[in-house]
Amino acid sequence: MPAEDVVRLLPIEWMMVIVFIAGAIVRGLLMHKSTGTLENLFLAGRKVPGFIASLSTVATNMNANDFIGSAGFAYGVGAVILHGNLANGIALIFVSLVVMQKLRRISVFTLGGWLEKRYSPTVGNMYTFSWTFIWMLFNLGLYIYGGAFVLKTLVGWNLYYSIIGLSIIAAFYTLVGGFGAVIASDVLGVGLMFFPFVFLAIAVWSAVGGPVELAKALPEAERAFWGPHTPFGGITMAIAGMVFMSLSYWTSEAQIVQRPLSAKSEEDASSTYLYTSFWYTILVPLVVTIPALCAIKLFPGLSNPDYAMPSLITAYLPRGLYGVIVVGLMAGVFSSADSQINAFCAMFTSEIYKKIFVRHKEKEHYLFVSKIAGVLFTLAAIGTALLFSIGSVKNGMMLFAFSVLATIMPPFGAVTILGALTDRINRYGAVIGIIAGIFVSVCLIIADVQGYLEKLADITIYFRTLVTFATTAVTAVLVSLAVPAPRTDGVPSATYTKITFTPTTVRLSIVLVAALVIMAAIWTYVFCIGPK
Amino acid sequence: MEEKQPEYELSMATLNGIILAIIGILVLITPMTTEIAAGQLKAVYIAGTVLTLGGLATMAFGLLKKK
Repeated sequence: MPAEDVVRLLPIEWMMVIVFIAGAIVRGLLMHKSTGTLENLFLAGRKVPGFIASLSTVATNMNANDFIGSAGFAYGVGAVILHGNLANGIALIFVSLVVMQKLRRISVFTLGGWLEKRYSPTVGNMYTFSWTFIWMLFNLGLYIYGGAFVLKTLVGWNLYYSIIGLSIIAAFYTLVGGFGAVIASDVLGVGLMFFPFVFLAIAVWSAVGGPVELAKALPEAERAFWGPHTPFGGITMAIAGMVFMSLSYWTSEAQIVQRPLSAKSEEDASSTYLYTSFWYTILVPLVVTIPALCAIKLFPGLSNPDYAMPSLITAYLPRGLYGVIVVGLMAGVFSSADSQINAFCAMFTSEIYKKIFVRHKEKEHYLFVSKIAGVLFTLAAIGTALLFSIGSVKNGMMLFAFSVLATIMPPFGAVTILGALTDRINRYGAVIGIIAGIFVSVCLIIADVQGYLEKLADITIYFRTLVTFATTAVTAVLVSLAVPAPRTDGVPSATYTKITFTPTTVRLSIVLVAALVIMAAIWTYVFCIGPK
Repeated sequence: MEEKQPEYELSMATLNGIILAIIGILVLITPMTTEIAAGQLKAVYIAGTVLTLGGLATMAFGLLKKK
């Protein structure tokens, strides 16, 4: 059954939705007593265990856009997208071991705060203002629009009412219950999101006869896992681009970085991303990417790639579980929206309002301001989501999101990683590197729109990421080397660059590397060797 | 100035367990309210049972932890 045929919820499935929403509201009210300080409100008192923080990281990152949009992306480009899952695994291990423990070491609220201490207030403000007023507004709008679009597609809910309703509920429990409510909601959300997709994956895999049969049935272009030419350009450029996009994302995305910052220790901050890596390396390909590839065989020629997953859901998921998947996708929207709202409040209040506009006020004042800011931000995001709904995202939600991501994240990702790796990079290098990176990324978008990049790739996101990241990194290094001394200002530079490996992080890393190798081998067999 | 921090407790397991268990029970009784193909019934019952038991276990964990 194609996704255009809307399935209405049964009364009993409506009850599931009501129970879930009521739970979210009660959770916010219950957690309200624990939000007496900015640290509790924004980072749950920095007492979150690494494993719980990793569940929250997955829930924050996986939303309707990922389950539906990334499935649509896989449907459009084929098996080569599985390299993206492996790239996420590699990036998460690297960022975990090299960057995250250092961010947690200095008790800051946001990445902007760390960049300020590591480099200078100018660098911190460049990040804070770019994220607060550009990327987060865009991103929350896309999250909400994506969620509402999915609910409209699956159960026929009115797009505009969904946008407004989802935003208000997420904002309510986030602003009332703080980061504690966000974490608790995320932990429930990650289970509800993945659980029905496991059943869906089993049903879809059975329908196509298993992965090798799937590979045999795929057209050659979609089956090419190691093929020299991909929709993203040559295979080497595509894989390198995926790795650097992942590095940029996991290093600089505000609401994601907040998770390790909330961890109870440096080791927990590192293990947050290491645990997260398991989901991206193993679970996401099995329950999202491969079923999406199955849709190429089961539902060929869909008018919009984003219909791939909804088509599978309506055709292969029984009633009852259909209600759970709707609740799970709502949980996905909430877990991303609440994190974005909380991260905005944290960044605006601690990095902008408190530092620039009104200093030395009592904590109640800042708590009040953060909530007002959260309300205004949510209203602005509703407006952004409505704009998306008017404009429509024709080539798939995920590609649109990646395209913006490829523009804004690599410059900040590059200076954060360099700043964590070596104390030789200084504030001059960071500032000029970021400016150069953003300038180049904007030029590349213009060139892309004008069609000058057509010869390089059909989809240019990974090429643009690579060039932007490299431009920022090379500029930052050259300028830093040209200026004699790095800034320390009394804080030992080792605080920023010293790496500590604990037995837990070493063990986790070894297991993860092994999992990456095994998964790469499995996909190579399934798509390259098995079908012959 | 040193600020006294209120005690923060991350114990939302009970509420999450209740939500999971109720959703699981609703999944389990879905076949009584609508027709489901015989081949899909097994999946519905397994999913409902796992959700209900998972919810009860989470709830018990939350209650025991609080004590």
